[in-house]
Amino acid sequence: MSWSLWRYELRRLGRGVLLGPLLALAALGLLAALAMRAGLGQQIDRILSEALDVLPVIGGLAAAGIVVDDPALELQLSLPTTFRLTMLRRLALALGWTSLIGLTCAVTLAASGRLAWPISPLEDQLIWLAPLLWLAGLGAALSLALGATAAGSSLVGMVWVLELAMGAGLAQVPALRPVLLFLRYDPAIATDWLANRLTLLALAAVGLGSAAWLLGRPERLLRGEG
Amino acid sequence: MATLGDLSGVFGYEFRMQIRRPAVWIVTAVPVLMMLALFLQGRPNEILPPLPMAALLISSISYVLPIPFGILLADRLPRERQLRTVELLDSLPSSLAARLWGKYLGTSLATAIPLGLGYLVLTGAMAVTLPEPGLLLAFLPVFLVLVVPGLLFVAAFSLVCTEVLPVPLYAILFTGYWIWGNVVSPERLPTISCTPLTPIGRYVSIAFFGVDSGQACGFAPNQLTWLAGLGSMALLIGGAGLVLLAAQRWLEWRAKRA
Repeated sequence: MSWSLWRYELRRLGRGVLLGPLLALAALGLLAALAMRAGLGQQIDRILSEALDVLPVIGGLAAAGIVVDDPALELQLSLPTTFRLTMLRRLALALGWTSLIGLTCAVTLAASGRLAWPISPLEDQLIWLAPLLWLAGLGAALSLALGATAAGSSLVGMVWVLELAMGAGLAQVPALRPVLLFLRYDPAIATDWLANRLTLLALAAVGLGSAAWLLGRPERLLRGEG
Repeated sequence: MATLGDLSGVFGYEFRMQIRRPAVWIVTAVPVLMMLALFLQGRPNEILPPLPMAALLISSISYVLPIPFGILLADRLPRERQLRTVELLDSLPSSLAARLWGKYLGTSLATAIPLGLGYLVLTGAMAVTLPEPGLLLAFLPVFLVLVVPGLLFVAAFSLVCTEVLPVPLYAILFTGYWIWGNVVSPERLPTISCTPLTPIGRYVSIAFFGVDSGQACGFAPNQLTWLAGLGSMALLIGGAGLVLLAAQRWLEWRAKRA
């Protein structure tokens, strides 16, 4: 497989997708600095650790945009490389990039003792990875099903904000605990957290699988916007 | 100059185009159904008279529901570039101003209709659960005062910002702004939440109805008068007007240079 193809797809993704995670980290850094100045020093670790909660929504929103954002769809459909393969390549690059940043953040935060909810080096990665894949699957599948970036992006953003704003209330409903994005590890009920992460990964597989299936039917996107 | 005829023509067309999009209805219905499931779990801890109760309920719903509204408006201008209809529209006798303002008003109203119905369904569910039919009477005035100024504010940004930003990047920035500007409490992070610029109307809700849906903003009782509430509404609506005016001037300047 030629590297030039991957390099081309990386450039094709655009600055928005590549800059998004870095912009978010910069914003969190700025907020941490402002919090320090405002005398909220005890919140710094928490603000920095929020990076692991923020990166998944950025990956999800990017995935929702990538899969339907090709200005030359008819041309894509005439090529020997399938549309599905091209889009999966772009998805892999965008999610790979976000994951690289997530991994770096989690490892750096844990190593410096600043991670607000440390578990173990391996399980720390599930804090960001499971929500990232789930939101990406949800966003990509919905954008493709409705033929509009706005559809997938709205739902991903909404789910994320809903859980962030009303997480405490939602955690009171036992049926919802397995699907919560921000459930924190509690050593007393460790299996609860692991079950939640595995459920999110399973949902991610369903979302990404549906997206891959819909990508095999790009004629749906030719019908116009949904 | 924008004539009223041009404006109403663009308004009608944009309105019909947006309200017929399945995505607008489906994406608004999903959060409404999710919150409906939450609302039906039980009664709220605090029971208040209809007006403050409606204000509390509606500003809680506003933490989430306007997010699809903001993002669904973000692809309206990029769509014209993508479909290569910009030049065609430029060749029409209607002015740029009429197209921008007509698009803003038409798409905003069309997207606000499913949204308003969502708010109404959720308020209705609470009116049945409590039971308190007065909530339904309080719905319209509270919606107009708390929700509409914020919607006008974010709609202006959603429409204009995507002239320079890609839609996915705007969606990221908008979601980040929403959580930072509304949900985060000032004790946790430096934020514009609890200021007159809060788009979900927390400030207006405290000023007019004496209730705050989020963690305490730290205002003393009666510290905010109804004048402060009116000021916040004027700031949000005026902010939207200023953003659109600036965008109109910029688009006109760009068209002259082209």
